[in-house]
Amino acid sequence: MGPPGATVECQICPKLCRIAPGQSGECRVRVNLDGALTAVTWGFPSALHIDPMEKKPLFHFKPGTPILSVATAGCNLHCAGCQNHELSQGNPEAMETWALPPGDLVQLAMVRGCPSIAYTYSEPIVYFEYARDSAALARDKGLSNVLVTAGYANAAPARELLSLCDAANIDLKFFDDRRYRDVCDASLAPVLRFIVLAREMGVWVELTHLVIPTLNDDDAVAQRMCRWIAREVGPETPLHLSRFTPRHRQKNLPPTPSETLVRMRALALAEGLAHVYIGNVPGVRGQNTFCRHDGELLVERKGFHVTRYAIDDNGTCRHCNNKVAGIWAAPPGLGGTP
Amino acid sequence: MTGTFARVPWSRRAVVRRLGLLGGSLALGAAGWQLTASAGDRPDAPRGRVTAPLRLRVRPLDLRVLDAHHDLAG
Repeated sequence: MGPPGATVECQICPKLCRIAPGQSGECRVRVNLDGALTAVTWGFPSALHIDPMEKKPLFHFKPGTPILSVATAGCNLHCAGCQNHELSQGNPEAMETWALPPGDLVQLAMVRGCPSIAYTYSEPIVYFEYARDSAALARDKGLSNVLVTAGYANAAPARELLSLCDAANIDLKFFDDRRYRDVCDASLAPVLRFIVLAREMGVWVELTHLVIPTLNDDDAVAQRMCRWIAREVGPETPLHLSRFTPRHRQKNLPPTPSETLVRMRALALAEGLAHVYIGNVPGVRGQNTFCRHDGELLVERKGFHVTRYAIDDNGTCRHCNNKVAGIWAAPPGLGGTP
Repeated sequence: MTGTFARVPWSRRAVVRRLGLLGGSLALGAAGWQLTASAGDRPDAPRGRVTAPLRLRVRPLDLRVLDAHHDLAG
């Protein structure tokens, strides 16, 4: 905290916004109030839902269980095609919010039978203090914490938040620094560092790649990305190839054709990734989990629902007894606790 | 909530910058100009919004929202 009237530098993300009194950083929610950087949405979420775990998407982490999902306004990225732009790019004063401090949030998860809490929808890095304080309380109560993030954070806050998390779905939006800068107002290297850091810290990591026509559907770039994932994060890291739908400032682009997603999935599998999924396209092959050793169907999904489950409690395939990468617990109704 | 991971910049670069701003302010002061910092280092980045005094639109939590249909991604 500086003297009243001081400009402060926010060090939560690589943008290092210098914020004059009364102004916010680019995220709109970290504000300099009288020389003190203030996280103004601490305890004031604007989105709160109970989702299935598959919606995050996390396919190898406690499948079929409900997860209390929370977000405040704000984001440090400004993706032209943001799928949640009303929340992420809005001014916190312009949207409705609820007073829900960390203790009440954790209590709510427990009362509603959610074994996990997700910090999601917008960008938990910018509501870092709320996510951190909630995650610490949740862990004390035996709940799991899930981070759904673009991974554009500096090392120290990233380390602190990840140390409280059990799983993360991290967006790898482009494998091209120029595209990151042009489309998202961010850069590639910090995101790659964040992904590797999460894996090194023992957090279960799944990656999401929103496939946007003409911007990141090039086979050669996708090939390089998949090779990097296999090498640096591991070939058993689940990759979710999600379908883009025109939103925000990218209404000029068409939705991603299913064929593009199918082609990219085949490419990713050929590059050695074991678990590649297609998201946002009901009915297309690419939703189910197969054993990488014997090819048996392990988890069958219809939409966000798990309809078949063949993994033992110790995380092994019921057919060949080989370990399946992930953190497993039988879903409610299929052997798990409702 | 006071934010963590913040500092008041006071590097040599900041001193030079402040001296520059002071000189500029003095030069422009007669015309009533005021120099202020802006968030972000890109010319096309969204400017920090003036949000103080902050007025969040806090509503009572209706728990039906938990199970309501929504189309948020993630």
